[in-house]
Amino acid sequence: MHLPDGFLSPQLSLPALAVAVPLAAWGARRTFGREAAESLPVLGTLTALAFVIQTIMIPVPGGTSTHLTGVTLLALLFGPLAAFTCEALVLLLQALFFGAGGVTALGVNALAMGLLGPLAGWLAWRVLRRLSERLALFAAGWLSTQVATLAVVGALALQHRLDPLIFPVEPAVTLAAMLAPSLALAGVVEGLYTVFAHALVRRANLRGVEAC
Amino acid sequence: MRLLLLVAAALLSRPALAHETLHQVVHGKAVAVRAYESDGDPLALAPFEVYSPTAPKLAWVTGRTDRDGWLAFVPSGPGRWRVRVIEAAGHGLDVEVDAAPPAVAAAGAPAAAPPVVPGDGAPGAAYLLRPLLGLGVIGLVFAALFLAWRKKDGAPRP
Repeated sequence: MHLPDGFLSPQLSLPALAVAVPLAAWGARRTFGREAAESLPVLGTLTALAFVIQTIMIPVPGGTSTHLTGVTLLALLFGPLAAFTCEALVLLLQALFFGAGGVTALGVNALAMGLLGPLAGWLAWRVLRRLSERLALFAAGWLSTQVATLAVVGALALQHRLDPLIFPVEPAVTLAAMLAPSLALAGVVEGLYTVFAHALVRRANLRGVEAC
Repeated sequence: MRLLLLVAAALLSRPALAHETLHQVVHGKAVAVRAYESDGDPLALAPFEVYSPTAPKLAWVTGRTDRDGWLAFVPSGPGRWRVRVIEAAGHGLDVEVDAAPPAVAAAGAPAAAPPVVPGDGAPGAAYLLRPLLGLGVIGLVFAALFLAWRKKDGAPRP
């Protein structure tokens, strides 16, 4: 899901960075500020966990692979803005240390995986939690993955429309290649992870989780 | 008359030789690039494009990587050749590969081992070290912030 350098033109990557950077700065001010000091140990641990989770590739038949994000949990516990800020940090480190996701594509990757996905998951959780907490958590993880995937597909499709030389794959092919593993595998595992990890965090009754 | 026809047929058949396809095997002339993910999995059978330094808009060669993620091209000259591997799932790479002029080996001398450019090898120890480095940075950022705010707030909590 991490778009590398060279797949997006400046027409797309620059506006995305122009949105993502100020948003991350605002998020950092609110999430990492003095008022949130109590939450920082848990927030840091879950951010580190998200970093590790995203490095674990799940092989998909056909030669590609997928992975979890682990960011939905952050959105549910600390809010979508905190999730975005933490994911932006994770993606920056992955781009610098792994080459997983490009530096120029950081804005698009962060907005897709850090904002749109977790925001959709958070909204689903808010709506569905009255019916069943577990169902709401699973739906949040699953939906978050689908929305993040669709956002990345949308960026690639737009790039194909703007300049097929930069991203030559047809949008329908990209959609099928990305959404199939996301629907069948990554979303389900992300949903299960969200249910399991949320239960663990709640049971541990960690200081700072309620503060946000 | 028959003789004339035979001569004419022989002369006319000569251009057909131009359609014969020959081949030449040259070792050590191609540049090989392997595309793989951070966990070492190859980008198998992925479409790729190679652009020469002199014509950066027109693909020099296109194709698909092999099952081990390897692609190869024969550069027409030295320079920075752009290699793009583009998977439909949004994975891939876009790198510049330095195609240096090949060293001329003395006749009869054994071929020297091809140079390995950083980034072309297996992931190795870096695969383990880089996640640890990333975790270390995350830990450092949050610990520094936490300690800074606690110090500013005065007395530490029990």
